[in-house]
Amino acid sequence: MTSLIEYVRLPTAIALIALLTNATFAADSGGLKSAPESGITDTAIKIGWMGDESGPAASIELPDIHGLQAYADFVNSKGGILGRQIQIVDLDDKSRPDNATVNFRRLVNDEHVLAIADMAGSQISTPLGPAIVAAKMPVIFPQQTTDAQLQTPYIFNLTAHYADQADVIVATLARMIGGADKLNLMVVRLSVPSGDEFDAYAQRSVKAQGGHYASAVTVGYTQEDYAPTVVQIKQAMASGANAIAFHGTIRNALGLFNALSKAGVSVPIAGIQSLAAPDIFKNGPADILAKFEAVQSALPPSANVPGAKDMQTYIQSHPQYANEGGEPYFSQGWLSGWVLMDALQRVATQNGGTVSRDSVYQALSSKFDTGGLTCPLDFTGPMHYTPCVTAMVWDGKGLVSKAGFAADSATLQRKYGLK
Amino acid sequence: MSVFLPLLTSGIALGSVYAAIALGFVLVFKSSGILNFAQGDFVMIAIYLAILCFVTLRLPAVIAILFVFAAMGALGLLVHYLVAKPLIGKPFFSLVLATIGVGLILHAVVIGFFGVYEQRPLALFTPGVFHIGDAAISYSDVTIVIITFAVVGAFAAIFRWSSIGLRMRAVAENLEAAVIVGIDTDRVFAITWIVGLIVSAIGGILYANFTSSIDLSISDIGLAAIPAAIIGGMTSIPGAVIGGLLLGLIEQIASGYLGAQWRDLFSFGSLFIVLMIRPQGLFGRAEIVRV
Repeated sequence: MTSLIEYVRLPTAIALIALLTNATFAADSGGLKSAPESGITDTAIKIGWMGDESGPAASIELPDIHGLQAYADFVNSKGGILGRQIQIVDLDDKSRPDNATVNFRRLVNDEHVLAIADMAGSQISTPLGPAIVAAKMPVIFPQQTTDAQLQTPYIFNLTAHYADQADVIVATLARMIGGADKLNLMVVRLSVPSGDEFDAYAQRSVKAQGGHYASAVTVGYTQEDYAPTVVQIKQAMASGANAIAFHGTIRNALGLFNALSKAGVSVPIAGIQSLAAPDIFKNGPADILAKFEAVQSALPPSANVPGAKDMQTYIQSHPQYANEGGEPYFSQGWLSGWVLMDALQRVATQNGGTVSRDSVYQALSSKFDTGGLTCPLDFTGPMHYTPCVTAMVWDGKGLVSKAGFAADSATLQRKYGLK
Repeated sequence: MSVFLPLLTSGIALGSVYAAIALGFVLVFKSSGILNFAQGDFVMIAIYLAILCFVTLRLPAVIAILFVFAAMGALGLLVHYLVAKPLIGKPFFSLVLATIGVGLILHAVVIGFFGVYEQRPLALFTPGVFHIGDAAISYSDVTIVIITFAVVGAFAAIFRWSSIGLRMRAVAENLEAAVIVGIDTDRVFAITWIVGLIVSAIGGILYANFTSSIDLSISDIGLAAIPAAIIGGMTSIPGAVIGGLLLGLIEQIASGYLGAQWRDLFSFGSLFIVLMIRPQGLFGRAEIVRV
């Protein structure tokens, strides 16, 4: 007959074993408690990514997801973070808002990710703003910064706003011309709403810096031949225009630069962020590229800064990424993972291992040092934006900043009251 | 003159590219009655095959061109037997949707084998420019125009004077009558697809030398060639050429004088005007149907 003592001992033993298991498990999980509805399972931390992987903007956005995947792989190979592996859930929207809406719902409701990285395209981020707020989903580093994004509290912006890009582009052209007072600016831009926006900001900026605005020339998104654009540029130059602020795609840039070179037209050109692309510098005509710079908010993995060392180590041992060592968007993807995990670690240690999406959002609303890959980030303000942009050129191996973030962005940061 | 001449020369070059691609579109429609909405995707496949042969594998030019032609011909044969032939007699829109589906498949194939990143344009023709007044005209553009007219002339001659051309015209004119007189219509349709896709390949290789960079959006050229074919007349081979040249000139002159934002308005506006005044196109034949 089993004695009473044995009746007590068995459940006690079981309870003790359970407690020990829990304690052991908690220790193995890096002190982080599971919160599956916030993307933290027993074994994984889930990060979502939304962007164009096979559509018209894929060549710009793929480096971003590659950078994020590389970061996850790099961390996982060293044992993961907080006792878990980073799991990336990437969904392709082909730059289409309808696909993006479905993907967003899937990441929130089905995959329960901790946060979403990227979300490229203002045609996607703007209409999703209310849904982002309703879901309280942090969105890290979309590839554009718009007024609507600055008003959406859960979006953390790295890419410079068009107004700030215009300021630095105008300052860069003024440097190339020999002074803002000598600058007579022509804007070449896409016939899309963001092109109108950029043109307006460039006009405002050149006048504020003491220069002149000549005219604007439009290029088409799928334009095949740029002879008409060159004709218009030559007409503007005959009337005194002496520099170009360029808003367009990589394809536009290569087409226009080849046409300018063919026509023997030489003029300083400064381009927006998407034109800081290795493809342009590797494949464009040398005579035009000698006077071309493009602005960017992040340095590429090839940069000689402490923040790039881990990326360089990883790329060296993973030849499938060898062609992306010069891609700033690869750095941006890497940084999105790094900033998110840094925030997660902060909140995990502060809250005794209890984490939710909301507490991660609070942790993201702070300061981060990216080791020189971009400006020191300060997301403590309401707009979650650190104006940071520098003009870049190609040094044969990768994009490099001529003046550095501190010099190019100082005026911007004063404008926002950050200095 | 310093404004008009560069626009004129670039318009002729661009129009020649449109003409070559529209020719492939018209060939298929004239012989089989199929509106091939995958025309741009076929051009894209031909371009990527050309990049594979000329750039990646560095094959000698003649072998590379023959390989591209053979591959596109084989693709045409596949499309005929797997897609077009099973849908003969089916509703018109079934055929149209089938060609759209083929285009989507081709798009996915290109992504799978070549990826999404930009490729450099082909540089097969003589580089450099010569000047007429202020206008800089590239030797490459002149080569494109010459090749286009040579190709058009060759296919016009084949259609007019060869036995296969006669059979293709007979099938296009009256399918039932062609069957009755003993023409192997299945073989004619297959040859039509082969020839149509080879012509598309020629247009694609010309375009790959004309454009600034090559990526997945290059298939959009098909959307420009369709208006060219409709303006010239869907049943007229010379019409495809004239339509292409007109379209290229209209686009370049409108863009040059007014800005690129007016390009599509003028090109599609021209299409609407032609359709309103002469629905069969400038050189097409009006179809008379007995009720």
